[in-house]
Amino acid sequence: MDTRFVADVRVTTRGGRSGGGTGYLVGPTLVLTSAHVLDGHDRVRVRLGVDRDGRFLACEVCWEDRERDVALLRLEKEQPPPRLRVRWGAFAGTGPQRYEALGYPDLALSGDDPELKHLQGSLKPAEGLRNGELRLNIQREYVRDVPWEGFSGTAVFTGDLLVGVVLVHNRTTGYLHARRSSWCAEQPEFVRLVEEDTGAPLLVETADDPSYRERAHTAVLRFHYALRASLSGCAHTLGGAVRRLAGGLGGRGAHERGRAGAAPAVEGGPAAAPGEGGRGTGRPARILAATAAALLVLVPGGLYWWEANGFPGLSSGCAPPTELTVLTTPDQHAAVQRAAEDFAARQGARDEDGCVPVRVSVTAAGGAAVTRELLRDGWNDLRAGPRPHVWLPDSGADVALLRGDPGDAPGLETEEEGATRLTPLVLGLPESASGIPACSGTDPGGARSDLVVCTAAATEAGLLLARPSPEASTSALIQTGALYSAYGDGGSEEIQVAEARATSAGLDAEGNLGLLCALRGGDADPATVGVFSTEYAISAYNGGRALGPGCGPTGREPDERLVPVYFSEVPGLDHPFVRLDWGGDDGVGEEVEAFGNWMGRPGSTEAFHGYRTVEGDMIGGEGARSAMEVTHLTSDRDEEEWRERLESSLRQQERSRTPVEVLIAVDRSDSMNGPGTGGTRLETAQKLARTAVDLLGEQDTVGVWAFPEGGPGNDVTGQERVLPPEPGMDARREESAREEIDALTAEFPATPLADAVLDGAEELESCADRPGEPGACALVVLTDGVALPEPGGGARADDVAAVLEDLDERVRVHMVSVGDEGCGGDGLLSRLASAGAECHHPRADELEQVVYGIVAGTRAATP
Amino acid sequence: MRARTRSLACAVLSCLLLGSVACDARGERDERVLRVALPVDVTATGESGEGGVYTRLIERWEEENEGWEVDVRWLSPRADDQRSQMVVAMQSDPAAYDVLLLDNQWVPEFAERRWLAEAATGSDGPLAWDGFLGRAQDAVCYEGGARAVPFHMDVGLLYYRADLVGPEEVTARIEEDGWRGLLELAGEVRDEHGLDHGYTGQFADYEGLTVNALEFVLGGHPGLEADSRGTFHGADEAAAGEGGGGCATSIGACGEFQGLEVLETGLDPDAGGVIPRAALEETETESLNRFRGGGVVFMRHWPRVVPQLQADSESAETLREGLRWVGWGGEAEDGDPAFGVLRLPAAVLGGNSLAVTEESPYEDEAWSLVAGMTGPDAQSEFRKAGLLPARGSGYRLHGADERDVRYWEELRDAVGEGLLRPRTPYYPYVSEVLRDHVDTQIRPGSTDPHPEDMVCELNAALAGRVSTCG
Repeated sequence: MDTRFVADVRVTTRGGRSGGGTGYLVGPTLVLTSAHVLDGHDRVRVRLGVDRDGRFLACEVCWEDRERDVALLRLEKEQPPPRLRVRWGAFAGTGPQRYEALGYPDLALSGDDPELKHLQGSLKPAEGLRNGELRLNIQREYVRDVPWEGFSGTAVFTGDLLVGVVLVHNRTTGYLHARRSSWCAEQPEFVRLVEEDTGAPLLVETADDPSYRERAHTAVLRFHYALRASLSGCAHTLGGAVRRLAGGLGGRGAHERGRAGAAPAVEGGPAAAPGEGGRGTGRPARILAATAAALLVLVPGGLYWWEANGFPGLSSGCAPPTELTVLTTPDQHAAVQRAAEDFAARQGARDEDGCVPVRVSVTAAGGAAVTRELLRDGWNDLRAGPRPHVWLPDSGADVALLRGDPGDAPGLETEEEGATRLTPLVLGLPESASGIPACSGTDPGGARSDLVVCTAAATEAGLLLARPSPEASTSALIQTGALYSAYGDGGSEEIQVAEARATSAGLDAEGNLGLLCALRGGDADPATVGVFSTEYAISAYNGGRALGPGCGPTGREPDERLVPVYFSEVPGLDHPFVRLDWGGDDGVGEEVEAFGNWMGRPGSTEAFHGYRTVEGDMIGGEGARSAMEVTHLTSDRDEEEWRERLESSLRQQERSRTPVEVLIAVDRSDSMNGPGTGGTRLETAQKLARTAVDLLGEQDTVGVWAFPEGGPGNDVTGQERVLPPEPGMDARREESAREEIDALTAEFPATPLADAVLDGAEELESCADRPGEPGACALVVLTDGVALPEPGGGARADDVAAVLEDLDERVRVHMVSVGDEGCGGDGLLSRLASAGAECHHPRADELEQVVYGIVAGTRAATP
Repeated sequence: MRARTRSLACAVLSCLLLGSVACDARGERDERVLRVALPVDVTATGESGEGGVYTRLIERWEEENEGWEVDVRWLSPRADDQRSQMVVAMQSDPAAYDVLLLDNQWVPEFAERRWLAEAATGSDGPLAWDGFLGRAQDAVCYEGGARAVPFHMDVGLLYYRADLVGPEEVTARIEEDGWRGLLELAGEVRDEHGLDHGYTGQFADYEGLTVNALEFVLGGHPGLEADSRGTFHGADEAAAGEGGGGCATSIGACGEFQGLEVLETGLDPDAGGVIPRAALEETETESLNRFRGGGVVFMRHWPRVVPQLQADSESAETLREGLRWVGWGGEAEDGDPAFGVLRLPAAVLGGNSLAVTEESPYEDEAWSLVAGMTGPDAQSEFRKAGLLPARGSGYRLHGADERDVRYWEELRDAVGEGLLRPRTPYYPYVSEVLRDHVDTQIRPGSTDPHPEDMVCELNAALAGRVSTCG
C-alpha cells in the first residue's frame, strides 16, 4: 500500500449537501471507491495522499456497479507519479493473513480535516467468501464509537496486493464488509478501463499465506542467529537475562507491554549482537521442527547454484559484523582503510557461511600531537571520531611520547605489539637536480648519504627544502632529531641554520602525503624543491597516486619525479600495532587479535604496496628494488631515553626556528555566527587561530586582535588588542593566547575589515626592528568577508593598497575566508586582494593546511 | 557422579551469573538522565549544538519533564564516524544510550542487531503514524514494524541557472531522455554561454558518490529497458513472518547498471563530458562553491543550500552579485544571474530518525522525548531551520507567498517520490562495494568492471557475505 495513492473523496450532491468517502488511485487517472459514496453526486473531487495539504482534483464517475457497490472515478488530469503500479490480489489460502487499510472513517464529521485511520488486523479467507466479500473485524481495535461511513471505498491490502474495497460498516456485527478485488477483475468493462489507463494487463495474483518453504527459511534464519548470538555473547546474555528478569518483576513501561503483543516476530527474531543472545532461543522446539522441514526441501544442487551466483544463502543469514575501530594517521589512512577491507573479506572467506564477521572503521584525528592529546584525555570528545580499539601510529616514537607524558591517559593502557611494516625516511630530490654528489645514496641497498652534508649540499645547489611540521608529523620529528644530533648539545647556531634550510621552501602540512599534495597542486616549482618525506610517500607522488583528501590520483607521473636519498643515521617508520584498553570489555578481543595478525603480514594485501616488510623487502610491484638493511628499528631502544631525545628535539626545533611575529586578527562581527565548517564561522576562525598559536614557539612573537573593537552601530573602525604582540611565546603566554581566542564572541554589527588589514599592516611595518628580532612577520586576518555596509569614516581598499605597497618584503598580509565569500568577484576580499593582501578561501579539508602554509611561508621569508 | 556434575554446572552458572551482574554494575546509570547520541547539528551556531533546532527541542522537553535531564553526546560531523561510534558503544553496552539519532540507512542494521525498541506507531498515541510522509515511514520500517520515528528528511534536487535555461526545456529533455537528455542540454547551454562546465554533483569517494551514482543507476532512463538499468529488488520480509508489514528490504541486485555509462560519458572530456573531472574529488561544499561561482549550468544538491544561495543575492552585507532565487521551476525575469530548482531525473532520499534503544532503562521517558522531538510542532521548526520535515503538516505554509507555497509543496512531492537506497542490515558494506565499482568505472584510465561482477558482488554484499564472484 502506498500512502500517496490514498484518496480523500469529496462529493457535493445536487441538493448541495456534502459527503464523501475514501478511494485509492489504481492507475494514472483512475480512483477505485465504493459506489454508494457517490449517491446523488453533482460534483466529485479527490485529494491524493495522506498529508492533508494536497490539492483537490476534479473527477467524474466513469464506471459503477450499484448492486455490488464498486465504482471507478476518472481524474480530469493525469497524475504524474511514474512508478504507480497496483498489484491486484485474490485473497486465498487456508490460514488468516494480516491486512491493512488506510482511510477516513469519520469524514462526514470532521469536514476539512478528517482523521486518518490505519487499520490493521487479521483476515480469514472463508469469511464472506460466498458473497464475494471480505470481512474486517474492527470491534477489538476500536471500541470508540467511530462513524465508519467515510471508510467506504477504502482499499484493503494484504502485503502489496490490493484484495478488496470497503463497502459498509455493519454496526450489529462490528464488521467492515469489503468487495473482493477478484470480483472486480471479472468485470470486463472494469478490466478494460484499468488496462487502458495503466497500459498493462490487469493480472490478479494469489494472496496466499506464506509457503512452508518461506516459513522454514525464516525458522532457519532465526535458529542460526540465535545460535551465533548465544555463542558470541554469553556474558551479555546472562546480564540481559538478569536485567529482563528484574525489569519483568519491577514492571517495564507500557511500550514494552504493547510491543509484546503487537510484534511477536521481534521477540523471536534474529539476534546478532553480544548481549542479545537470549532472544530467539525461547522456542527451540518450533525452531528445530521448522529447521528440519527446511533442510528436507532444500535441494543441494539448487543451493549451490544459488550461492554460486552471489544470492543470499538459504541455509543461514549473516549477522551484521562486529565493529572494530582503528585510529591511524593521515599518511596511513588510505592504505590502512584498504587493508582493513581486505581483512574483512579474508575473514569472510574463512567464515563457514561466507559472512563478513567484522567491519573495520578507520579514522584519523589529525596530526600526531593532536592525536596523542585526544588519547591522553581519554577520548572524551566524540566529535573527533569514534573511540578506537586499535592505534596504528607512524612510529613507536608516538607510543613512547604518549606513555612518557606526565599524567598518562586515565584508564588507558597501551599494548604495543611491534612493527607491522617499514618505510625509510628520505629526502626526495627533483630528478633534474639529483646529481649532487653528497646526495648520491639513492640505492636503499647501497651506500647511504649523510643527512647533514646532503642537506647543506642541496641548499648550496639552489634547492629549497620542505618538511612537515614535527609537531604534527612524527616522521618529521625523527628526521629533525637526526639532523640536530649531528651538532650535539651545542651548536645552536648551526641548528638554526639547518632548521632554516629544512624549511626554506615555505611549505608545510600535517603529514608527508599532505606536503607532497601541496607540492603537486601549489605554486612552488617542483623542479626547485626537495622534500623530507618517506620512501612510501615519494613513491605515491611519483606514481600519480592519491595523496589524501582533495588530492586524488592523477594517473600519470609528475613532470619532475622525486628521487629518494637514503641516510645512514635516520631510522625509518615502523608503524607499530597498538591495542588500546580503556578498561572493561569492549567485546572485540578476538577481532583485535585477528586484525593484529593480519597487519603483521603486510604482504598479504595490495594495500601496502610501496612499504617494506620488517625484514626490509619492498612490498608489491617494486619488489625487484633493492632490499634494505634494517638497523634502526625500535626493538632494542631504551624507550625512556628515546622519548627524552624526541622531546628534546621538539623543544630544540621550536627554539631553532627562525623567529617570526604573527598577528592574528579575528572578525567578531555578528555574521561570524553563520554556519562554518563543523560549527560557526567564528568557531572555524578560533580553531585556525589556535592552530597558528600551536605552530609558534618560544622565539616567536604572537598577538591577537579582534575587530570591531566593540560598541553599537556600523561605524566602528577600531580593533580590540586582546593580546598585544610580545616576544617569548612560553607556555603561559600560549595558554593566555588560547584563552583570549576561545573567549571571543561574535556580537557586533560593524565589520571594519579594511581597517583591520590597514591597522594590522601598519602595526607590523617595523616589526623586524622590534625586541625579539623576528626575521619576518605576518598579519593573518580570519574573516567571513561579509563586510557591508562598510563603516563610515573607515579605511577603503585604496588606503590599504597605499600601506601595503610600502611594506617591507618580510611582512606578509594574509586574509583567510572562513565563510562563503571567495577571493574573486567584486567583494571586499577581492578588492583587498587587489590591494596586495594574500587572500585564501580554503575548502573544508584545506583549512588547517592554509595556516601551516602561512606560518611556514613566513619563516621562509626571512632573508 | 551425576549429582556432582550438576553441582559443578550450577557453580559455574552461578559464577557466570555473578560475573554478568558484576559486569552490569558498570552500566549503572544516573537517576533521571537520558543519554542521547546526536551528530553535530547543522542548524546550530555552536559546536555543541547551541542555538540549533536539536538543542531547542531537547530543552523544551526538559522544561516539560521537570527533574529529567538529557545528556547529549555530540558525535563527529562525519556520518561514517557517527555510525561507528554508536555501534562500538552499543556492542560494548547495549544500554550505552537511550536515544539514537540514526541516518535512516542504518535503521535495518541497528534493528537487526536487536538494539532498537519497536515504535508503537499503530495506535492513537503520540507516535501514531498518521501525518508522517509515506516515504518517511518506509525509511524506518524493518521486519514489519517501525524501528525508529522519522525526524527529518532530505531529497536530491536539480539546481539550474534560470538565466541561462528555461525550466520547461529542462523538464522536456528529462522526460524525453532522462539523464542523457539532461547532460546533453547541459553541454549545449555550457557551450552557448561559454561556461566552464555543464553539470556537477558529489562524486568524491564517500557516501555522496553512492547517492549520486544510484540516481544515475536507478532511474531516469526512458530509453533503457528495465533489465539493463540496474536495480535492487527486495522481499516483503519473509523473515518477519506474520508480523510482515511490507517493509522494503533489498536482498538482491540485477541488471547491467547502464546508467553508469551515462555518468562515465559525462565525466569524459574526450566525449564532450559536461562534468568537471575535479568533481571526482568534490563533496557538498565544493560543488556548491562551483555553482555559486557561476561556472556550471546545473548542480545536484540537497534543498538545504537554497537558503545559502538565496542569502548571496539578498544579503546587504556583500558586494557579490549572487544568484537570484526564482523558486521551483521559476524563470528569470531579466538577464541577471538567477537559479531555480526542479526534480532530478531520479532523486535518492536522505533523512534521519530517532530510535529508542531496546535496553534503555528509561524506555517510557525516551519515547516521550522522541515524541516531543517528532511531533507536529517540532516538525514545523525544521522547515524554518531549512530542514525537510518528516510530517506532511510541516510543509504547509500559512500566509506565505505563492512561490514559497509551491516550493514546499513540490518538495513534499519530491520526497514522496524519492528513491530509497538499498535497505539492508549490511548497508555500509553494500555502499562500499557499489562505490568501489562506480569509482573504478568513472575514473580516467581505469578498466570498466563487468556488470556481472558488480551484480554478483552486490548480491553477496546484500546478504552480508564476501564475494566469491570472478
